[in-house]
Amino acid sequence: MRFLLLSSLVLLTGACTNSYKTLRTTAGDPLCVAKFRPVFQSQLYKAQAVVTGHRLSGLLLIKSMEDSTTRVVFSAETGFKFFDFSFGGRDGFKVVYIMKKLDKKVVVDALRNDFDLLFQSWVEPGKGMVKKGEPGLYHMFSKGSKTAYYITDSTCSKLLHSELGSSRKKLVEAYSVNTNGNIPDSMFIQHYNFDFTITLKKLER
Amino acid sequence: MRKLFLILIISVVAGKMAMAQYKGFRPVASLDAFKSSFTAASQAITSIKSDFIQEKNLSLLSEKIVSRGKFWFRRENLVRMEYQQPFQYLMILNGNNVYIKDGQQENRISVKSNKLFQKINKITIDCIKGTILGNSDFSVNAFETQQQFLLEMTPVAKDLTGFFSKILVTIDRKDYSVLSINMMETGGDNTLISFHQKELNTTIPDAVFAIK
Repeated sequence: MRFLLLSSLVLLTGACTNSYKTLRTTAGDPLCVAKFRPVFQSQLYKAQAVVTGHRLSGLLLIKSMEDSTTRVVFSAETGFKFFDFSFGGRDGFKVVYIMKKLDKKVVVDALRNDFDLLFQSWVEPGKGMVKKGEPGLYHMFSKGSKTAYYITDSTCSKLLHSELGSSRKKLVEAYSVNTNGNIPDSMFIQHYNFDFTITLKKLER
Repeated sequence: MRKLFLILIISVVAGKMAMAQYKGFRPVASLDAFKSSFTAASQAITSIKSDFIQEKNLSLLSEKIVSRGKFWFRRENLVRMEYQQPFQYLMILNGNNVYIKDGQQENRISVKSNKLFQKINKITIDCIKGTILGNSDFSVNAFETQQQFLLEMTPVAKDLTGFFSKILVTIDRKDYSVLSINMMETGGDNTLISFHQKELNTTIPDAVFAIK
């Protein structure tokens, strides 16, 4: 009983922790993170998603189109298409196709937020601010109730990782590894509000 | 008489349209006769070992995703598909059981638990076994040239119509083995799997289809 009480207290304290409370405003250019924006031509990734214990694997194609949109198409290894999303351009985000089983607002919104975070869709002139914290500088861009955080070292020469959060809680964390300019070799996305991770590894074609 | 004339006209127009759609192919004279010879000839195929090339065509993106691997089939219902390039992915269909190895991850599924998977699984096996003409999930038209047959399968089952507009299967006339399976999606994309370096009726050990 005492253990149960203690566990509940720990959980409650954890849930109430403000992830961004210790950040302090500092001078700096929030747009310095734009240089880390990934540049895709037509890259194919082996993708693994784990949603509440269920594993889904496949191929994720990210392609920049001539009309300045970026298309993200996820299909099974056997060719079966799961979804096709369009980002940017004149119309902004658009679901081109999604299979019936996945066509749920919570799924579409989560995926949209993940790719918006990776593509730095929210990084725009005049909309950001910089705060100092651990482990470095937090370059923040807000939209509605959510904020995208791009965390760099103290001189903004290296992007450590990105986060999407509310004003208090971290919701998503994203890491990417680049060895060839701004084309990510691998990416990892972890959700904190529900059990959902995505791992992407670039394939050589 | 007028009705008969109309039917004749429609048949001729439909035949011409099909010929235009599948260049060089003409409708088989008798679907029933073709069905019997196809089923009988397919019965003689007890195993297939082959390489395969899969091309996923994303029409609106002008993009082609090509993967390659090895394929094994043994009657009645054993299939192994091993993708080797540009990624490693293994799928074994052994009766009602499916084994998937994706990198270090292994997964075992019973197709009984997933109706759609069961249907898609059945399409692959029916195409290879020569029993696809009896699959009630599709209406089938057959066409021919001197070298090949072409089966045009249009899904009638509701859960398949959302995925495929048609599945086109080409068959080698000399041994009735499958040359390619082309799954056409409703949105215009398609997945073409073509089989190469085929070896028919060789001995394939049980271990190839073993689910560990």
